Amino acid sequence: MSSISLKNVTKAYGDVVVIEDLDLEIKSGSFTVLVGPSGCGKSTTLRMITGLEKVTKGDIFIDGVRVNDIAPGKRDISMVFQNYALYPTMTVRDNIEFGLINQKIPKEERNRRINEVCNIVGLTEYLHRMPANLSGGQRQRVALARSMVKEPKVFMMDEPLSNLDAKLRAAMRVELINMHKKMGTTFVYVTHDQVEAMSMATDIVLMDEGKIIQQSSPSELYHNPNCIYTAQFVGSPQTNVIDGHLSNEVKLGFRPERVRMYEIENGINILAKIATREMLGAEIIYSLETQYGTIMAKSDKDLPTDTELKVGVEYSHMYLFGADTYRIPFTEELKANITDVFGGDKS
Amino acid sequence: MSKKNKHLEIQSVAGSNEKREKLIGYLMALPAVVLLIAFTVYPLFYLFYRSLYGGSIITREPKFVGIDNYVALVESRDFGQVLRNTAVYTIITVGLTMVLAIIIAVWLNGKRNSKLNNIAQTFIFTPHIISMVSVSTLFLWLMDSKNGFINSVLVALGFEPYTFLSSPDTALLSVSLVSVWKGLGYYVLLIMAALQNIPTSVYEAAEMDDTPPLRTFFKITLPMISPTILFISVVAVIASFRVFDSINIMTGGGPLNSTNTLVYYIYDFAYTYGKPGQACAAGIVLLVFVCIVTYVQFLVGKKRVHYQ
Repeated sequence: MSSISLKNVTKAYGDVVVIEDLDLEIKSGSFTVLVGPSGCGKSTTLRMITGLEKVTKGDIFIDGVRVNDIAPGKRDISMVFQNYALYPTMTVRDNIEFGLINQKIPKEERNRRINEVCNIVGLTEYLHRMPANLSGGQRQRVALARSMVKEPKVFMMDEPLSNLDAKLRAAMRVELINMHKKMGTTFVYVTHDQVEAMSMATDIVLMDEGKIIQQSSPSELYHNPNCIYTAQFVGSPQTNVIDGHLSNEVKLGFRPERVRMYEIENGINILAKIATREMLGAEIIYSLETQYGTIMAKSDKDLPTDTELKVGVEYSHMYLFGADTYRIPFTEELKANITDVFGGDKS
Repeated sequence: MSKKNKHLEIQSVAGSNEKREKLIGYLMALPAVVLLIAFTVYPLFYLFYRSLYGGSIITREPKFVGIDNYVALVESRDFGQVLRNTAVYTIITVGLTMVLAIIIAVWLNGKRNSKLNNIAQTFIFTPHIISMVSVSTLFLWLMDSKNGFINSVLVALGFEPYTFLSSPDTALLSVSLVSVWKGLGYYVLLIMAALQNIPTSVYEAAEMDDTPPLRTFFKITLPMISPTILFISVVAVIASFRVFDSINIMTGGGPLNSTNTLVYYIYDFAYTYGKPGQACAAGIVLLVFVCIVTYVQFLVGKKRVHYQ
């Protein structure tokens, strides 16, 4: 169990600054997921923690120890690479054992650990195979075993599931959650997939353009986004944002699943017409035409297209964003403004 | 009935199409096959055939002598020396070339994209494009034991002059060094290409595994370029079995037969002594040696080489 902290970390390639003045605290024992679109600096951040990438400025601490000048192999961290990066000329067993030999761990201890880890990830019968003769999922397991066997303080994973098919990915998600629970080690995980982030993380770090937009638990991130970017990154379809109708450039946001397909009290009711519908099974996604633009809604109520109706959004489900797209508090004054513009309760 | 006929017809048309395509394939390969037969297969068989006959180059109808030519080879004092020379030359040349090529390639690869890299690569590769004859002539001057450039420098620095080509003890080594110098760049280039095919993430994984540099080299780099190393060793061994130009120009097989290698010996026998039968027999011996050594290399390769 280890905490990691980054203080004023800057990373530049020549003149191109990828990350500027980043501060990040990763809690001991957490499953922290760095998430964001490609090019947001999440992988670079991870690689700086591992030491594979040098920091241009700033400090990185693991358990309070500054590790800037400590070689990657000496940081007591292990990493699972996106393409697994197995040693192609070694058997599965040799791949797993390689790091242990470097650490000069005695043979008996090595055997014990390899057996234990291979039981956990289910590789025991493949120990003498070469990586080329394994399926994608099996290679993934070898990569996991290779990093688990070192019993590191921190586990790093750089999009480890992106090369697997959808079914296997879902299964591996559950396995990773279990692994984290069992081992209690700090996990740092990079992905661009919000579903992966939401489902596995205890702590999500949402990044964009080299900056941390929001760091919080998945449910906090969902229920309490601090800006439009966060609100729209999590959830599908993305959060509706109505712009240009409230005073002081205030924008009104609400999630599609919060839109009621009937008139409500304690909120606003908007006149809408169903333009399209997507049947998902339990729920239906509607796109609604309104005088404020298109609004997405998700509901279990089954309505045909072209239906005209009033849809409701409760005050408690609204997010208000200021001109700078960041969240602003929901004041009585703004409530009055909203009621005034969109029409109030059914009366 | 008619339907059935039509079906058959379609089948036979398809069959004749297939035949035609096959025929076109053979026709396209024909020129290459003809050339191969004329210049490789036929000479090979003729070589063997001629090795069983005596006479000289100008003899109209050489006499069949059976294995006499081979017996003469084995009995001759020179032939053993020639084989030994060839073996020593091959071991020195191939050994030095391989070790130096791998070291230089790894060094250059580590400095990829640097200016030094480009310059060094050019310098190392250039000898490969110069003809062996020019290189040999050049080194004949450089290595001259009295007035050569290298010895002038050695003497100026207060060292004893080196004998190079003038002593039986050093001549073979000197000729080998010239071959190493000339061939190195080509092999460096091949190994560099192989090195660049190793994914960086594998090295990063090794870094995360806290692997010492030498272990990384022997356990990761070397196995991953082993197919190229096998290829190079086969090509280099065959090339040094066939060494001729440099020997012919620099030493003429001397002094005291100390640089007389197999191909030079064959040439000498055919054109200096006018005994084509014995030369052909030596040619067959060369062929057998090349086959055996290459086979052994592939055998070793099967165990040691990792194809992906």
